[in-house]
Amino acid sequence: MVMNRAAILLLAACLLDGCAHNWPLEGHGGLAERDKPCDPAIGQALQAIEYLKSTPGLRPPSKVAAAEERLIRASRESQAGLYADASHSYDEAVQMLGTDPQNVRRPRQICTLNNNQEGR
Amino acid sequence: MGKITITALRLFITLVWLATNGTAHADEAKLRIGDIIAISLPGEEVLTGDFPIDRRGEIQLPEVGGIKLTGMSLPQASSAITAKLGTAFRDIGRLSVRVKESKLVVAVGGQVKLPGTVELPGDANVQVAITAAGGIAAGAQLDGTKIIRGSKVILFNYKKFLDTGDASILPQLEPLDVVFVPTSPLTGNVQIDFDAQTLARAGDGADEAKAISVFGEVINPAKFSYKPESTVVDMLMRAGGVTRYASVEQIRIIADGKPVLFNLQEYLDSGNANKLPLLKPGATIFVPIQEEQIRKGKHTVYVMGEVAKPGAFALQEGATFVDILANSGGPTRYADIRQIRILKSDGSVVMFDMNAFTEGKGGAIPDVKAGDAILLPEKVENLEPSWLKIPSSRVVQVIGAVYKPGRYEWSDEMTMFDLIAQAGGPTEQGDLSAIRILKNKDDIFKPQIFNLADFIKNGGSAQSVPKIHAGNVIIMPELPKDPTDNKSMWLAQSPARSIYIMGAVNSGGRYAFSSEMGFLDILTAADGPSKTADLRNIRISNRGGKLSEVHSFDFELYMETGDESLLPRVKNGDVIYVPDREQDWTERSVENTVRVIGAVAKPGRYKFTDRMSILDLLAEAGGPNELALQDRIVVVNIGKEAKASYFDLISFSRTADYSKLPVVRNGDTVYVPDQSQSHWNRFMTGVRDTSQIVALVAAIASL
Repeated sequence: MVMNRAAILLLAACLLDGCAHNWPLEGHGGLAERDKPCDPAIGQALQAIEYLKSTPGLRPPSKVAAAEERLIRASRESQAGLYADASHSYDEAVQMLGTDPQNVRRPRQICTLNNNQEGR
Repeated sequence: MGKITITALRLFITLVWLATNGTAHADEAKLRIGDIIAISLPGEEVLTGDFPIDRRGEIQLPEVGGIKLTGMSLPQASSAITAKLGTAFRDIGRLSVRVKESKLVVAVGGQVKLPGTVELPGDANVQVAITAAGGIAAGAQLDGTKIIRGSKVILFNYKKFLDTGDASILPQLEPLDVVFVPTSPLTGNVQIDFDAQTLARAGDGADEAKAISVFGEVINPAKFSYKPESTVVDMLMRAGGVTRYASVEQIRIIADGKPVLFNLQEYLDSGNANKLPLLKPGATIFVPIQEEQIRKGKHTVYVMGEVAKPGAFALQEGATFVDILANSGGPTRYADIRQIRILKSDGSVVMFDMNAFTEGKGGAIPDVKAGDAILLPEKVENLEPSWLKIPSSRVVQVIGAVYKPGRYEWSDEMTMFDLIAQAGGPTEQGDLSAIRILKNKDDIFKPQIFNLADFIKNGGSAQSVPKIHAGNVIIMPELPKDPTDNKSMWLAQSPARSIYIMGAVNSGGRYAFSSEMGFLDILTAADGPSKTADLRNIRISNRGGKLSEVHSFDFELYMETGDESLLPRVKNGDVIYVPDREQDWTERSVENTVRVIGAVAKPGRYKFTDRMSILDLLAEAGGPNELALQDRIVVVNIGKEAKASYFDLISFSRTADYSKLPVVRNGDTVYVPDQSQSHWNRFMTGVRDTSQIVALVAAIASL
């Protein structure tokens, strides 16, 4: 009887310890710019960047370069599910290009990748 | 009737006397060499003919030979011939002897065209002899001709004969005379074909002791023969007259070792022969050049200083100051026409500002009289020796990096540019961007800075150029020399005119800076960034205001894009700091780095850009170490929202599925757990701990 109780106690202790320690979900978006942006607004902005890069003189090249980096970050954040951050980065990129963020379409689409994977 | 008879009788007597004496004279004439004796003896053809008296003074007759006749009269000669012929011929009572022709044989030598023996009429003179010898050749000394008669030499002045026609000057020729025409000593010892003009110009003064030497500003300087009646004017005319440069008022005549001054101008003006000095044999006449002497006269005005042709000028009636100035060639470019001075003969000085007069600002043309002197001073430089005489209230002082620093007399009509130009302009080290003007007001100097470099480059209103007044001080600062060679030079460099660059550059320090320079100039002056410079995070501290403002500059972005607008605007006093990429991570800001902690080789904060990924970050941190739990690398994103995710490096290395790379941004944290954090380890730890508890409980229960 005593041995049965001890065995149950040992098993419970092991299970409690292992199951209580959960890992976060697997991350995404680290190289999101390699894929088509899941948000069309970011996609359009990146197309605008490409146009500006191919047409010198419309915008300062340093601004275009900085805006492109910021859009890459927005794309990554969007794919990683950091929507508020993605929206903020997008606004910054638009601002760098000299456009009023209020007048551009904001990224609203929520990327649904495999964000529900559980850790081991 | 009686009177007529007496007159006729007298006339008859005279004619008879003349006829008798004339015949007697002819008979008494001595025979000379060259005479031709005509002999006639009827029936004897050999004794009928002309017999010339030869050089021995003899005639040669057949059968009897030579008979010397020279020195005999014709009757004597006739008797001598009759006596001689009587020895060889009979019946010579009908012999007649007469002089058929008288001839003169002389030699002409020396400077004649055809020297040699000539046969002349018996009554020929020297001129005929010379003519027979072709005439005088060029270079002959005409006043030194001579006749050589045996051992006797008879000098005569052939030139004088030619001048006067006086035949008595010429010696009587005798047979076998040698007429010698010498060569002028002025022709020298070299045989040259002289032309008459050249010889005439060379003078005719063969007699060194008596010849008059004329030299200086005459057309043909030479020695001319002295004539008692000649005057200085004659000699000057013989020398071709004076040149246009001759100082005719200062002709010097030296005779007997005493110089005499001769004013030809005065003589010509007055016509007074008493003003002609006496010309003595051997005198020297010197006509000096005009510039070498001092002209003085009652009609003279003097123009001195900065004119084209300074000198003394004869003042004509009605001539004005302008006429005189024009005659002197006018002011040179160096003349200070504001300060023209007329030194009156009475000792007073009249100032004349010609500049003001020509601009219609008043003033009248000064009256100039004979004896006055007009002085045009040089513009500034000649004032320097007497600078003590100019009070400070009338000058502007220019010091510093100009070629001719000093005190300059000032007029408010001039500008600062005039002054700098007058001072020779700035030197190569002159810093035009910060010219300092010290203005004195109530004994207090206040500085004013003027950026002339900017004015030259961009122009500007004339009003912006500082107004200079007498008493001001202009300082042209000097650009600092290379302080990298001698840092002590920094002491001479104003901090307000320096810019600082430090950190990861090759030659950090303090550099002189101007508004024309930019960031790249400073970076270049510092020999560029070092190899380890963090060019993405260059910091510029603008220190112009009360508080410094710090800006960041991504130099690499500038190099990638070439966007000039990225270049920061820097100015004097700013500080540029170029950080080092290899700096300690604790020195880096949290916002611009990603923390990498846990089981990596080099935990710390690392710079991260949005083009990097977690793989770059792990590589920068030296990678996971051997204890790392590589399949559970945790990324904590901290932005508008916080979120954690994990990255399975082992799985990624097998599948290369980049979609499973987690997003990382500056400010995030990457945690690499060690293997103790794995599920199995945690399970085993739990089992061990539980078994210990169970053992403990069992031990207590057995008690």
